[in-house]
Amino acid sequence: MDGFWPTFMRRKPTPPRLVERLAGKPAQEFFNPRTVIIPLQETVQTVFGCSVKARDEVKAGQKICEKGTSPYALAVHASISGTIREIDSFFHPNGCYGTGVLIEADGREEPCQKISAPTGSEANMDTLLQAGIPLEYEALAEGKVETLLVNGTEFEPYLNVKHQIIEEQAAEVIGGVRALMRIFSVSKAAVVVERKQRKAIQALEKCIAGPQDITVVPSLKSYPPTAERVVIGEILKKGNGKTEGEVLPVDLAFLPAVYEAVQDGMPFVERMITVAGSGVPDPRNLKVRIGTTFDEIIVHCGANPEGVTQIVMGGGLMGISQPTGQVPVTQTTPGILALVTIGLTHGRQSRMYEEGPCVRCAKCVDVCPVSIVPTTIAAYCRKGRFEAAEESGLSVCVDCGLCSYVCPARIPLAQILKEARSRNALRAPANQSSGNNEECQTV
Amino acid sequence: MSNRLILSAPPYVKTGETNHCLMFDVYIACLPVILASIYFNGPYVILVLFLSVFSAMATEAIIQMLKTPGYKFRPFLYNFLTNEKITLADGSALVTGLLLAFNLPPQIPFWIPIVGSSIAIAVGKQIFGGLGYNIFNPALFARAFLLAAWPVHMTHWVTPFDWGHWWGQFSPGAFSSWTIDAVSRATPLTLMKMEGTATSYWNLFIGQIGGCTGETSALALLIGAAYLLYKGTITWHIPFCYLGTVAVLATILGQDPIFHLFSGGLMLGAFYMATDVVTSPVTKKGRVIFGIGCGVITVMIRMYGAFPEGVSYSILLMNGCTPMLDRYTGGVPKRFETMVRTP
Repeated sequence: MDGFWPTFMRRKPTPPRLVERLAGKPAQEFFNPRTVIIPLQETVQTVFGCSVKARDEVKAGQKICEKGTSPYALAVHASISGTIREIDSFFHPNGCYGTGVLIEADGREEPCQKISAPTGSEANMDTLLQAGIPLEYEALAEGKVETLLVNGTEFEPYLNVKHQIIEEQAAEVIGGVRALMRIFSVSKAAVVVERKQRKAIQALEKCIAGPQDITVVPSLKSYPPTAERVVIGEILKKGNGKTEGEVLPVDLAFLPAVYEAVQDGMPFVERMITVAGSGVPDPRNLKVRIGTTFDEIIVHCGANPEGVTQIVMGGGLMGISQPTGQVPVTQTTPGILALVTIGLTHGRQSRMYEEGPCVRCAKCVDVCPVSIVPTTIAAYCRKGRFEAAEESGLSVCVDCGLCSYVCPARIPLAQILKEARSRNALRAPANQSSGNNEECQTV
Repeated sequence: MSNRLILSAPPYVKTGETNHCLMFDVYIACLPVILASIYFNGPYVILVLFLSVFSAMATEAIIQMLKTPGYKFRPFLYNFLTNEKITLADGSALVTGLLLAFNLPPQIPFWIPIVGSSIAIAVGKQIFGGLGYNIFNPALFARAFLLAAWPVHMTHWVTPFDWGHWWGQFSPGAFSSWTIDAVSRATPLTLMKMEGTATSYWNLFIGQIGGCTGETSALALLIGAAYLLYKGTITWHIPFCYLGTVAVLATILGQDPIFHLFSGGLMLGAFYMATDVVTSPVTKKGRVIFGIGCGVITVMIRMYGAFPEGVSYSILLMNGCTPMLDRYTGGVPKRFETMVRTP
């Protein structure tokens, strides 16, 4: 009977990591997918203006669309050369439908087209917009940001992509940070890396050498991407003594793209992802074109497509489960999990793994990165007392999923909290809706 | 890919740990204590443990059968372990039975563990709604009840290695009076309180003293506690604050702190009773206050109370404070207060 006997080894409060298995393996390239889907809308509200139509021929790196509103309109590029088969509604890995462009590859391997914007030392915000790098331009352009924060810690147990990027592209990462600092006149930057990742820290420090404008902050723990602002801000305050101005987190995966856009005028059409999960025999880091479908990548990595029962965008703790494999890799996709969960589905699992009463073991409290009490909040939510839940810190929750991971009673705490949060966010007045990312319409 | 994919909420990884694993860790931590107790107090302890555990599990099963409308009685253990409504498989009744037996004198009449376990499960736990909802530690609740109901039987200690008559307490006479001739012996705390005699540290440490079944051998208790701490089933907060407070207060009040740490039920209370997950606070701050509170009350009862021992009452009193502690320590951390939206 599973779940009856305890393991006599100590159980860590965080899940085991893939890092050790992937360390030292160079990232491979997968640049010739048969089709790509370029999403034009992240959410149903995204405004976009498409400049191509079906049956048009496009080249890799060609600008096909602009999305967003005027001063910060972001360019969208075709990531491979080929023919546009259709412009239709496609499933976006965020969990909603949005317009996308389906491009069929013609097999020509031409070098990527460059963007039409100043590069090198004359690079400005327009360069980044034309390269299609989805940064938080409004906050950056305001000029209040004092510290750029790069989270180099990998929170997800299955993923390794951040470490790989730092190890392989340390110079590009630092170059990207420097470029952002110059363009938006930000005075400080910090890269937070796990203390264990000595190689990564060394690589970064080697590249920084010279002006000490970028600090590498070694941290003991890893932080979820949603909690960067709140949790790592605390570290910075501890480390540097003071950070008066605003701290703005930047996704690490964008930095090499920033560097290439500023240096060579390359559009953001490829990124590194981790492909892992129980259905993938050989987990690896892959460099793929934006828009490559999950199906193709999983098959490329040797998974049996018939055996895979669950496909997840992101990692094992915070990823989003996908209803189909025909979803594209986007610029914010850190990885893909293909999971085989035969025998764990409901009704076939051990009775021990069914949800039980909360025994108040406080494991979820000890593991919570923002020090709230998930079990109490979840109990409030289940009773429908959302105001009480809100007072206990419901909106502080960063959806990291660790509470569900550790819960021995198998209560889906993270799910309950997320549901209640999106419910409360919908009811809250619009002007106070800072810090929530639930604008996406879930399907 | 035409196969149907599973859609579920994150996380997609989970520990293999269940409630029963937590309880199983407690069984394992109890093993050295049981062995030490059998060594010092004789094989009658096995009978006490068996009766206590069996009675606890039977009570739980019967109450849950009665609670389940239309339950059809099938006298198979397998059925008890797999029926949804009968939660014997979570192991909490077994733990309660074990801990209650640890809190009884070794040569107790055989019916006291039976009555005690039934009270512990029925009144201490099931009346509140079962596992996870009880306010007081069921084993300590039953001990308090037994101590009030049969104070003579509950404070009749024996000398270690005087195993008495093996089944002496099982005779019909056990209902009315003591039928064996085991030499009565006071606990170190009683000796200290009433006669002012100290017990040697070595005897206190290995457990060659008078006392309850499970509380005498500090060595065995510490081995079990080390396992629990290693596994993360309990955290350091409650036991260390508890023991620390007792040591500090005893020193301040001019007592021997080492004597106070190792005598009576303090080790058992601090590592096995106060850390009962259901009845202790969930927040770290709350756990620290809980431990300190237990320590203060224990020393107060030991120094100034009528009883020589106050561990069980101190833990029960603090159990009552747990909801309040959780409420006042479980709010939003200060640094995130700005993020709370008031609807």
